[in-house]
Formats: sequence, structure tokens, C-alpha cells
Amino acid sequence: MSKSRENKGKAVWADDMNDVKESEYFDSELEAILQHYRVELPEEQRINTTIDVLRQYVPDISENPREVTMMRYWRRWINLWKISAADIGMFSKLYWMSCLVLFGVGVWIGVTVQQMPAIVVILFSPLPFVIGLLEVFKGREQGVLEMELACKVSAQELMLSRLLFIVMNSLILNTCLSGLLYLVRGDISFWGLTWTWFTPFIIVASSSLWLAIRIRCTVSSMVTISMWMAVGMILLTRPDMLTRMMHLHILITILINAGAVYLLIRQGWKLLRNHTFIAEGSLSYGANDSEYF
Amino acid sequence: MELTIQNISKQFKELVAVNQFTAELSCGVYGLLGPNGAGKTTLLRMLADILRPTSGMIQLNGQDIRSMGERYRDVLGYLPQQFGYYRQFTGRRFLMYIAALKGLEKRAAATKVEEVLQLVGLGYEADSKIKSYSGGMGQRLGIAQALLNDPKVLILDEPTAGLDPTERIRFRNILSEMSANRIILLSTHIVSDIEYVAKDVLLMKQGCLLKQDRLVSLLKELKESVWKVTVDESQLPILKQRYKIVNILRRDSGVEVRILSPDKPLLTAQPVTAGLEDLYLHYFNEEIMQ
Amino acid sequence: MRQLLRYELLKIVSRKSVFIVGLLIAAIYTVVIAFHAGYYQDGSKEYRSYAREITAEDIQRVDERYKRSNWHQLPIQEKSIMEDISGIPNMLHKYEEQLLDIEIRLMLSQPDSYEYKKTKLQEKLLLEQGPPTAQLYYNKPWAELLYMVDQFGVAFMGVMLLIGLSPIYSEEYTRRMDGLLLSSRHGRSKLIHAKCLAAILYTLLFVLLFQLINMGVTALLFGNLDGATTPLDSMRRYGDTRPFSEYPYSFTVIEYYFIQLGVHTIGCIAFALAVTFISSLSRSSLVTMLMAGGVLGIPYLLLDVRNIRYPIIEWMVTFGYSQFIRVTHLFNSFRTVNFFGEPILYPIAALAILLTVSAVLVWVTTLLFRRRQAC
Repeated sequence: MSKSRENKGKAVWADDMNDVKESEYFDSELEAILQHYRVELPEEQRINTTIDVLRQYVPDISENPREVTMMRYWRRWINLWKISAADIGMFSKLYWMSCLVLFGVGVWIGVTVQQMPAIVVILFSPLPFVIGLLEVFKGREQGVLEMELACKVSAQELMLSRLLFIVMNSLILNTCLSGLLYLVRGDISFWGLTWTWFTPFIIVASSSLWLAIRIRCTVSSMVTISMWMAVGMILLTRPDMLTRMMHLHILITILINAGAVYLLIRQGWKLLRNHTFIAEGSLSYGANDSEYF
Repeated sequence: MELTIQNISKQFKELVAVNQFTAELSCGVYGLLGPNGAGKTTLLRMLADILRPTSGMIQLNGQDIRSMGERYRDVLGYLPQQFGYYRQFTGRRFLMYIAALKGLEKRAAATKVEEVLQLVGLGYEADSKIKSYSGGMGQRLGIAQALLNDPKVLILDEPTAGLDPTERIRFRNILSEMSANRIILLSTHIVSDIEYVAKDVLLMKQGCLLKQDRLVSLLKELKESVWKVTVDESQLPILKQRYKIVNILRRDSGVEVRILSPDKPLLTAQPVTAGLEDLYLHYFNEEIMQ
Repeated sequence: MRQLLRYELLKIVSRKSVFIVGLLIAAIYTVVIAFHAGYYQDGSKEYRSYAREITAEDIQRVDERYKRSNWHQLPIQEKSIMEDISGIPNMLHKYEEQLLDIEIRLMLSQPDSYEYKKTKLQEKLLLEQGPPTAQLYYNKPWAELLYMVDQFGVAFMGVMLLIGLSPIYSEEYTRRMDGLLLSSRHGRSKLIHAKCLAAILYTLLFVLLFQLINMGVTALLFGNLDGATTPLDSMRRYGDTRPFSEYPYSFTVIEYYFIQLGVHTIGCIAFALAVTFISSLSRSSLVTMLMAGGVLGIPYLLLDVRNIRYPIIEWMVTFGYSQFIRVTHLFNSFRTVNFFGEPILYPIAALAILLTVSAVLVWVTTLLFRRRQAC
């Protein structure tokens, strides 16, 4: 190696050495600064104590995951009914008065009319549900949905709980009406009457829910009620049509009922999993798919 | 052109919403300021002839507006605080409908509709359905309908709610241009709406007219009553207790506080020019304090 | 005014709900037709051979045919002809009985009394009608046409009017448009007239639509519209038009069709104006619909639930909107109204009352909206 190169090398080496010394100096300085922010790990005993305290809040993970899922579902159903029970007081006067009036008029006509008491129950059976749909979609109609979506009890849960309530309430009201008519009159069968009103009830309930999810609830209720009135007027003046419908083959009726129940459940599911609302002008925001189920 | 409000009152069962309100308005922009529940909207509704006063009279050029009826509404433009539309209509169709209601002939209406749409910046969205409009666009449509019949009396209830700053400036400029031979009365919480354009400000509180005067004169009352001072964070609670605080701004050097006080609050406080917000707080802050 | 009327009509017909309900009611109409598909058989050929005076031999032949046990198996048209022929002696006998009854009542009542004048009027109508001709007529398509207006018409029109007109005022309140409307120049005058006219035009549109569909479908299914010039009382033999058995007038089928159309239209317009009135009072379209639906449907319900007999209910049933839309009940029997001692035929009196009530409702609606204050 030539001297100049050697000297150059030495110079470089010296430079390098200086660099190293400089970096070592900065390292130690840095360490001193960072020491200030050092987080000391707690003692092992403290860690164990903390784990013991928190253990009580950790959910039981059973060996059987299917059991866990079933428990979760069950707990959530109970929760839904609890929300429903708490929400009863929020239902409007219109709903309660309509139920009362319909029940009262149904009893009066059913008791005083000589022929075809079934027609009263058939005509009135879906109406409490259709009017109740206004309560289910109240938040959406009155612009509260956005707020409800941000709450602990979400809008979807609220809507579903209200839907469950109005289904149950309608079933109870109609059953009571059938029961009363059966008791007062001697010429009808309770189960026959129940089966008679259940079919139009479930058909109208499922189709009105289908419609209400897609268009404004007030409008869908008006459409449903007006169509039901038309059907009622036609059936009243064509008793032969009514008799034939009431005496459809049992299998066909079961199929129709099953289809309508399926549609109702499916629409309830749709209500739960996805609900859109207008947030800003034409922009339509979809609520996140619920992790409820 | 003179609009005279003579001792009008409006009572809803036990609530007196407007109480013996008297004012005289001539051509120009008038700002109506007051806290929520002061009765501004009720007053404006009576001026728009959609609510009847319990007592008192409103006259336009010496004639009672109730007896004028259609003739008064022919020269009236009104933008309510809350209003709706027919969502299935396009913006243009909606304005054509309102034009028909205001008695404009079809051809004249078409021209005027195009003019107001351009004025409020809705020219491109005119043929879209109103249900696709944003809040601001809807508000601009509302302003447009109020201007359709070239009104001599323009009543605007919170017209800039939902408008962005650019749109608010545009709206202010429209008002200024129009105010030469029109009576424009606008109620707002956004003080900048009237700070630069209002001829007179009417201060309303609990249904009554507190003051009606030029803005300059009203602000003169607050001369040497508005102070700016920078304090430590720890001094802030004490200041809040003792004085009316208009604004708090945290800076690196400390907390800059704008105070409303007839006396110098602190030695280091500097007097500043009073603004409309200071005026608002001066007259209406008592209700908040209560 | 034309512009306003145009926009008001547009507001009504552009609603999605009107379209949805229109489709659904068309579907129900199809179901009703399909349900009675077997009824739509053209019997004109069979009846043509009996378009003459029915003789005693014809009647005797039919009586002998009835004695055979297998007459139930005959085709429907032949059975109808047999039934018509065997009913002729009864019809003639009934006519003579009616005349006799009138004669007795005239003898028993005081001249110039209301009862006397009423019976005299009945006699006049009966003589105008003349004894029933011993002739068979084929007018089944028209019977079906008239029946559909009576039975399906009220459901169709009722529903279309309710869904279309309930929001006419209510929606203005719900949408907070009332402030804008009331503060505009024509908001308290021409607008109200425009809404009223729009309601009437909307009604006329659907009356026309229904009549065209009804006539078209009937003509298609029967293959013809024979029997237009036959006497209306010959329809009493059909099950669906049996209410005409007591019918006192002397119209032909086509004359009655136009009378029915006219009265049906007036009834629909009157109901439309009633819905408009209720809408002007209510802030909710649904409540308007329920109330107006009750006004239409309750008398309808009570008429067909025959056991409820209180004077107020009978009055409601008699003068209810549904009866004017159906029409049959107005003409199917002889009834008069005592107007200061003079008997006025029931259809005329009822229509006069309906028109008066409708005019009052329009006036009240105008007054209420004109004086309305937006809250």
C-alpha cells in the first residue's frame, strides 16, 4: 500500500474512530434522556394479583362452542324482550286507542251479528299490527334514527323489539277476541276461529312489513289499510268467495301460512341486519351489519 | 314604503309570545336579534300574515294587512324557519309551483325561476329531485322561492341556517343589493349575517322589543365596556365568576379572554372595539346566567 | 289557475302510493274475475230463438222438463232459459197484484194527503213500466257490468280516493308547507279551488278508467254486449241483479247504465270532497284516511250485517256515500221523501241532499283553510 493511501486510510480510520467516539457519546446521552421515560415492569406478584381480580369478569368459555353460541342467542333474546317491555310506555296513544277501539267494535259486531262471526275477526285481525308498524319505524320517520344508531341500545334492536311486541300484542288481542266470541256464542269453535284469522293476519303482517321496510311507513300503512278495506268490502258482498277461501284445503293453508311466517321472519332479519337512512342529501349511509346475531 | 307594527301581541293559552311589540320599518335591512323563545318566529309569522295577532295591528303604507289580504301577500316574500318541500318535485318544478301560487304568469314565472336559481347558485341542480338535495341546497331553494315575486316586503326567519360561509356571503350580498327599495327583516342567530348589512337592529326579549336602533349607536353604548386580557389558566375560573366572558382563546402565552364589563377588569386589560356578539351577550346573557 | 290546478293534480297522481294501490286493486279485480270465470259464458245464441212471445206451450214444456230428475245436469244456459220461462207467469201475476194493492191504498187514503199522492205516483210509474212482456231477453253482460259497479266499484273508487286524496291537505301540514302556501298570494283563495278541482278531476279520471276496464273486460269475456235496449226489470231473474225485482221505473238497460254512471260519478265526487274536507282538518294523512274510510265503510259494513237495526244506523246506511257510489239501492224499490206534503222520488231527494251537503263541505273547507293559521 502506498504511503499516501496508507495515510489516507489512516485519516479515514481516524475519521471513523472519531465518528465512533461521537456516536458512543450520543448513545450515552440518549440513554440518559430516555432513562427519564423508562417504564418499570411491575413485580410478578402484582401481575398475578391483577389477573386473579380480573378473572371474575372473563366469560366462561365452555368446552362446547355450540353451547356458547346457544347461550349467547338466548341471552340476547331475553335482552330483546327486556327492551321491548321497557319500551311499551313509549308507544303512542294512537296505537293503544286503535287496539282498544278495534277490539271493542270487534266484540260488539261479533256478538250482535247472527251470521258469519268469522268475518269480523278476519277483517280486524291484521289492523293492530299494521298500525303498530308506525311505532316500529317511528325513529326512521321522525328523523331520530341517526341518534338511535349511536346509542347503546341500537336502532335495529329497538325496531326488532317493537316488532316483536306488536306481533305478540296482535296475537293476544285476536286470541282474546276469538275466546270471547267462543264463550258468548255457542255456534263457533275457538280453534276454528283462531285458524281462520291467523292466515289473513300473517299474510297482511308479512307483506306490510316487507313494504314498510322499502317505503315510508306512513305511506305503507295507508296502502295496506286501504287495500285491506277494499278486500273487506269485496268479501262482505261476495260471501261465496269468503266461504271458499275459508274452506281451502288444509295443506294449502298450511303452505300459505308457512310462507308468510317465513317472509315475516326474513323481513325481521333484514330489519336487524341492515338499515339505511338518509344522512346528507342524496348520500345514503348503511348502518353496519349488526353483530347481534 | 313603510311597515308599521302597532302594539301587536300574541297569546297562546297562558303563554304570551309577543307582547305589545311596536316598530316602524322602512326600506332597508333590519336584523331581528333575540335568544331562543324571545318570540321572533311568532312575530315574523304575524308579519307574514299566517298568524293572527291577539291584539294590535300591522300596517303597510297605512293599510291594515289583514284587510289588504291578497294585495299584501302579493308584495310579500317569506322564508319560514322550518319548511318542507315536495320531495318528488325537481327544484325547478317546485319554484314554478310557488310562482303559480304567487300569481306569476307561466312565461314570466319560467324566466324568474331561472333568474333566482342562478342567484342562489342552484342552476345546475335545478332539474334534480329535491330529495337528493343537501341541507344547504334546500335552504337556498327556500331563499329562492321567497324572491320569486320580487317582494317589497321580505321576511326571512334564520335564512342562513345550514349555509356554508361562501353561501352566507353570497346571501348577504344579495340582500344588500336588494335592500334599496325593499323592507327586509331577517331574524338570525348568526350575527355576521347582519353585522355588515343591517340598517337597524331590533333586539327582542321575552316577546318585547328591547331596543331598535342603528347598529353603530347600539355599539356605542358598549364603548369601553369590552376588554381583552391574557391571563393564566388558574385565573380563568375567577374571571368567569366575576365577569361576562365573550370569548376564551388559549394561546401559548396564556389564555386570551374577551370580557364584557363597564369597568376595567384587570390592570393588564386592554379596551377593544365592541361587536354584535358583545351586544348580544350584553342584553341576553342574563337569561343564561339565570 | 290552470297552472295551480296542473300542479295540484300532479301532486296527487305522482304519489307512489297511488300507483302501488292501483296495481294491487287491478290484481284483486283479476282474482275476482278469475273466481267467477265459469259465469262468463255467452248465451246469446241460445236466447235468440226465444226472442218472441213465450206461449203457454213453452211454459208447459218447461214444467214437464222440471219433473225429470236430471234437469240439474243441463248446461247453464239451458237452465237459465228454463228458469226465465217458468218465472213469466209469476211476473205477470205479481204486476197485477201490485196494481190491485195500489187501487186499495188509493181508496183507503184521503185525497190530497201525502199518502194518496205517493200512491198515485207509484201507480203512474207502474203504468209507465207496463206489464212485463212474456218475452225472454238476453242481457247478461250488462247485468254483470251493472253488478260490478255496484259491488266492486265502491271498493275500487273508495280505495283510490282514500289513497289519493287523504294527503291533499294533511300532507301540507306534515311537510310544513302550510306556512309557505298561506303566505302566498293565492294561498288562501285560488289554491283551495285548485285543490277542489284537482280532487274532482282525479275522481273523474278513475271513474272513467274503471268504467273502461269494466266494460272492456266484460265485453271480452262474454264476447259481446248484447241486451243494451232490453228493459231493465228483466234483470231481476239474475242472482246478482235480483235487487231489481222491486224496481219501479221503466228504463232500458242502457238508460239505466248511464243513470248509474252519472249517479256513481256524483257519489264519487261527493266522497272525494268529503275526504278533502276531513284532510283539511287533520295533520295526519293516516288519520284522515281512517276517518274517511270509516265514513265510507261503516254504513257499508252495517248494511251487509243485516241485524243491526237502529234508526240512526238505517239513516246512515240510506244516505251513506257508499250507497251513492253503488247506486242500486237508490233505484231498486219505490220510495219517496215527504217534502212539505209532496212526495219526492227517493233518488232525486237523496241526490239533492248529497249535492247540498257537498256544497256545504266545500264552503266549510274553503272557510277553514282561508282562516287557517300556520303553527
